Amino acid sequence: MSKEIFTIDAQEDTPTIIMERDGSKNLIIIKGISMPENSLEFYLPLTEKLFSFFNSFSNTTLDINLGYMNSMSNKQILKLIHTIYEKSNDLSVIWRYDKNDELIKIKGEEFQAIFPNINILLKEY
Amino acid sequence: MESKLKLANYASQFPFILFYQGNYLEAPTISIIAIVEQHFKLTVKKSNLKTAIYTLIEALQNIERYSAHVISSEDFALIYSDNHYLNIYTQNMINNDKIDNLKKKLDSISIKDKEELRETYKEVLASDTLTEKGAGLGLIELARKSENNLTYSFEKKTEEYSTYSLSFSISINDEITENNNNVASTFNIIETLKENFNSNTSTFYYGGDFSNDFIKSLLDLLKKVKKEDKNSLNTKTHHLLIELSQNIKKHAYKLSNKITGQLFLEWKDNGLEISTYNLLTKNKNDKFSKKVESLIQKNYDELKEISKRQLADFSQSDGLGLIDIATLIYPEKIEFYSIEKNEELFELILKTKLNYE
Repeated sequence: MSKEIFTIDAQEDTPTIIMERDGSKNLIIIKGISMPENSLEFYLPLTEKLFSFFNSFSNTTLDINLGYMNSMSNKQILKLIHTIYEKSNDLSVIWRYDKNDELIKIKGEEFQAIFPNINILLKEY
Repeated sequence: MESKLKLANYASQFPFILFYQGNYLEAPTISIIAIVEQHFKLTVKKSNLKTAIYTLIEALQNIERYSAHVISSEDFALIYSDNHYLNIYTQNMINNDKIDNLKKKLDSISIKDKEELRETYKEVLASDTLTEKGAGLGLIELARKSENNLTYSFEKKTEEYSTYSLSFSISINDEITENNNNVASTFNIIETLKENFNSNTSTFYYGGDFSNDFIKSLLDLLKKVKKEDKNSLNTKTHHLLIELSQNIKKHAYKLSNKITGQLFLEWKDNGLEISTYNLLTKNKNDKFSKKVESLIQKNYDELKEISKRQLADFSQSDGLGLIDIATLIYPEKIEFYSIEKNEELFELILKTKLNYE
């Protein structure tokens, strides 16, 4: 089966989203900055789009690389991880952070602590 | 905090104020322009804004051009507006041997009327001196656009250097109004700014809106002029600025046609202080004070624990920002100073500090 891709371009204060459906493998990439004043306005429709694009969430990798993230987005991303995990428990999350960025690293560690059953891998760059 | 409050109160009468003192070598002009432009783009007629921005570029590049780049705390620009005029004041250190030539140019420009300025402009433009650095075209343009209200002065500091200051106002509103703010008020602000920021190695001070456009332009400015800062300090600074600015946007009480809040970035010998000023309703002030008082009692692990709990609680949509701020600046603590303005409103100054590693 061929690969299908859907992209949402980054805006001033929201990240690029790439959704990739490749056979039985799913990939979601969130990359850039996330600091919209009302993060619900971005993350609610995003969640809806994910549900319409992917037939199922089994074998899904969520690859997140955010340079800046406001605290409201932080919560929405946590909810997103939770929502996907509820649909399928073979979710893996890659949480990328700049080696000089203590806050983003701490956020990844918080996710690991909150979801001990989800495979969340912290990757420094 | 008292002198900060005095400045904040004084500046509150203006819808916009920006002051940057520091390094003008790394071309901060573009980011400063972006901040001014995004603030006025919805309220000022495009052609007026274009003229104002054009003169502002000249004025800021004037600092870059004439500065001896020796003591960056002596190089600064103040830009503020009452919505009728954009008032600009620049100062920089200059080599004493450059003064005569510059002063001659300024003296000759300042006595010319509109028509004479137009002629001089055309002459200089056509002449061979165009390739010379500082043929004076920029200054002539400033005189023309400001209807020749340039004020300038030189003050000798050492055998080698003096300070050179230049100020003018540009109308940004077609209605003709008396410009009350020009000389006396600029002088007052400069004095209060100096009182506050004299010992800083560098300062960014801003009052205006706190949109994400503003935050992004500010981050761009910091990336350019604060390249020498340690990376980790930079990322912390950026996270802090996003949370603090969005806090103002979300919680500050806004009086009509006035600035929402103010932001102070002060580079000291041992670290960076970031403070904010804004009005709060009594109710929000009580909530804020209680929350911060509890946060400053906590150690690092406790802060992380609180953050985790707050994050995992889907019923709560608020409150993570302050916890993040407390965590980011640890072991420093959030300081705040809130005083009653009237029965309903409080003035709040919140101060955070990041130490150099």
